[in-house]
Order: sequence, then structure tokens, then C-alpha cells
Amino acid sequence: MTRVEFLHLLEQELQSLPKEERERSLAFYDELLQDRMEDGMEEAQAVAALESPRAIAEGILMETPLPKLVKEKVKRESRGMPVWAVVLLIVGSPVWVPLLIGAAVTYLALYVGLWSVVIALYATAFALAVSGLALLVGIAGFFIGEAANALAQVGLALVCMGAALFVGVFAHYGAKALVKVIRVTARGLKRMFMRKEATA
Amino acid sequence: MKRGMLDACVLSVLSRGDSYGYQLIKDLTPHVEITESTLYPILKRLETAQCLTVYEVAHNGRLRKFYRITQAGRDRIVEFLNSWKDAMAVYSFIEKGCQHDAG
Repeated sequence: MTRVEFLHLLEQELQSLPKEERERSLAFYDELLQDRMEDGMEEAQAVAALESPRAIAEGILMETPLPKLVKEKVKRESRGMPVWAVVLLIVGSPVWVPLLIGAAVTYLALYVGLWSVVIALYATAFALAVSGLALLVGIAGFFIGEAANALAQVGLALVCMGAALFVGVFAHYGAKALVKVIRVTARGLKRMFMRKEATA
Repeated sequence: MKRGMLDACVLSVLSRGDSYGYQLIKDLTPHVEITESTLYPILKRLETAQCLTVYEVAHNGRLRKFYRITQAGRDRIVEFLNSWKDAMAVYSFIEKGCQHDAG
């Protein structure tokens, strides 16, 4: 493959990117190939040393924030729209706008809900820890002759602190799992912006 | 941790002086596993985080992009090294524990 062929393929794979980003990516690889060739490497060899345009494009798209990809797609789709389509969109807006808002609100509610569970777990752990510490004050009972009471209270304190640790661990792993789920979802969504595989 | 490691490597090279894509690859590959496809997103990320700035220099009739580290970039290196010091402390602890059992 020649340098120009490679860059052309890469450009096609990066169609989902805004023009400026795409140009910058191409310039980077163009510069690198030319530097390699200047250093004495054969053109075909320099190109072969790189990953496939598709793999490179995937890497770049994964690093691009999802909103940017969505914005660019909307921009591109709306550019070639005939007048009747635009009119239809406007006239139909009382229908699709509330639906879109409804969908967005639903996803937002789900997102907030999941984080609320995690926050609630942390809050519970914290509350238990504080209760445990407060109850620990009951140790003083040993010194004023209220041994039985003191023992019960200290026992309860230890139970609280144990529970705090237990819930805290759940909170921690819950938070980690949620972050991972969000990241995987974003990657999956970004994958939709890659060029469809050319059928053989 | 590994992602931060490559970022820190790139910044470390730049802290010695401005450099460009191909030169960075040449300086880094003897020490870490890095390809162009790995380097480009790192440079993009660091630029967004304002850890480096980009400028162009004419070379043989084409424009070469040079990267320069910023103060934020230098801070990032220190941050990374400190996080590794903590990791090394845990490493020593684990190591000492094993030796104690063996002895």
C-alpha cells in the first residue's frame, strides 16, 4: 500500500469525526510515514509497520468524547436535508420532541438512580461507622459501675463498625462496577460510529 | 495505572526538550511498548489536559508538529512518580511479609 492509499483509507474510516479532528489525525500519520521514509524506510514497509486504518480509526474514535461524535453526525445528517424534510420535522415537533425528552429523562433517571444506590451505600456505611464510634463512648460505663450496660453498648458499637465495613465494601465495589458499566456502554455506543464493514 | 504510565513516559521525554511524533517513538520504544496508534491518543489526551502545547515548524517543504511540555505536564510527572512511591511502599511490605514466612 502506498502512503496516499493508506491515508485515503484512514480518512474514510474517520468520517464520523469533525473535519478538524480528522485532518489532525491524518496529518499525524502522514508526518510519521514521511519521517520514516526520510529515515530510509521503503514506502510499503513504512505503511506495513502501522496498524490497519480500521484499527487506528477505532483507537481514535474510542478516545473521542461521545457528544462530539453525536454532534458531528447530527450536523452531517442535517446538511443535505431537502426543504420538505425540514418542514416535516418542524411540523412534527410536538410529537417527537416530547418523546425525545421522555427518552432522555428516562436514561438520566436510570443513571441518577444507579448512582443514588451507590451513594446510599456509602452514606449507610458512614452512618454505621459514626454510630459505632458514638456507642464506643459507652466504654466509660465500665468506670462508673455500669459494667453490664457498658458491655452491651460496646458490643453494639463493634457490630456497627463491622457492618460499616461490610456495607462500605459493597459501596466501593458498586461504585467501581458502575463506572465500568458506563465506560463499556460508551465504548459500545462509539462503536456504532465506525464505518460499516465492507461486505466481501 | 498503565495508561498513566505511558502518559508520564511521553511527558518525561518532552521535559528534556520539545520533540515531534517520529522522534518520540524512537526515544520511547527502547523503554516501553508503544506504537503510533498508542502515541497519538496519548498526545491528544495530554493536549486536552493542557499538559503540552503544539506548534509547527517547516521541514523539507512540509510542516512538522512539535510538542512542548507545560507546567501542568511537569506536575503530572511528579504526581505519577509519587503514586508509584506509594505503590513501592506496599511492594516492600508484601515482600517483607513473604520473607518473614520463609525464614
